[in-house]
Amino acid sequence: MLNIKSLALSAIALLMLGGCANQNSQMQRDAVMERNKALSVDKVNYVDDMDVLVSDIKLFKENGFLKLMAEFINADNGEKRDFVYQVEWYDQYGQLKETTSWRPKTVIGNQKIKVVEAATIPSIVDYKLIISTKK
Amino acid sequence: MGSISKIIGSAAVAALLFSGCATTGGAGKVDGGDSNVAYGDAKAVETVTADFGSTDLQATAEMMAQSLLEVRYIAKAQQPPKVRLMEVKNQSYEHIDTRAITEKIRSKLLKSGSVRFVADSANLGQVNEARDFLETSTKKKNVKAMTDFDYVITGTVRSIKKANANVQDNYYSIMLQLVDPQSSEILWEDEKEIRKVSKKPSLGW
Repeated sequence: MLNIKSLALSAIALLMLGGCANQNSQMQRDAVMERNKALSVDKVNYVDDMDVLVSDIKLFKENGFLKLMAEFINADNGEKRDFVYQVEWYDQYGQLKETTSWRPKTVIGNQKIKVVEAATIPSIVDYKLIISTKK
Repeated sequence: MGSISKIIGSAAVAALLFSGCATTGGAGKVDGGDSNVAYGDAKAVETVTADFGSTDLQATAEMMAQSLLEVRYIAKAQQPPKVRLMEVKNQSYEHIDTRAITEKIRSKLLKSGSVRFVADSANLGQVNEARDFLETSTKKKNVKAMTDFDYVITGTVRSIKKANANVQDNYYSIMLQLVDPQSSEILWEDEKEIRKVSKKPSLGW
């Protein structure tokens, strides 16, 4: 009897925790979406839907070359998403100096992936990240 | 009077016809009529087949160039080292122009200003001709042959292909190395792995 009671209590607790986790991830996604909308003004461009979002961007210089680390998050709960991204590299005058090829990537539901891109011209000081999720 | 108006009329019609021909296609463009040819983005992702394609070539060259620029023998060198491209062996099942990979890397590295390149064997004959011409025209005997280099870039392309009735799986491994020719020491090595999966259509002609 005691076992059944404890099992039921555990199940309820698990369900509650599960609900919290889902709510938290949804809240996190909403926050990321808002941040991306702000970012998309100049640093991140979404060619079509915002199915894959940028959850983090780190920018640093190594050996005189600008490096970018971007973290992508699947904005969908469970669907696997294929997307492509491209980085445009700009010099101090805002001149486009270099463009990477479109990189195909896949991010499964509720997952994040990180990518690192580096400019190969030392005069690069700025970037623009372009994301497309169109099939 | 009647013949003059006829001539003017014919000239106007001819001019209109010719101008019609000239304007077809708009400024700076020759219209091919019913042609299906169109220009596309050279950097777009190409998924026509699961074979090694332009996207793989570009991604490999860009990733390798980025990786090479981090090597301390290049990044921390007092002077940009002189490098020579050597053969990248194609041990895959398909024809892959491996020189296209290394030449793309060379182009990226040259733009970085961190590396100098020695002319490779493919166009060394022309370089030697130019040097001989320079020697005879200037009488200078101290024109140095472009044979000294600090490092060489070499590598291998391998592939594993598997297929069943429904799916074809192509795996490519592109390994590149930076080697010191004096000591044969491998100073840097990096690998680019590519997996391409294509589903075969269940119904076909």
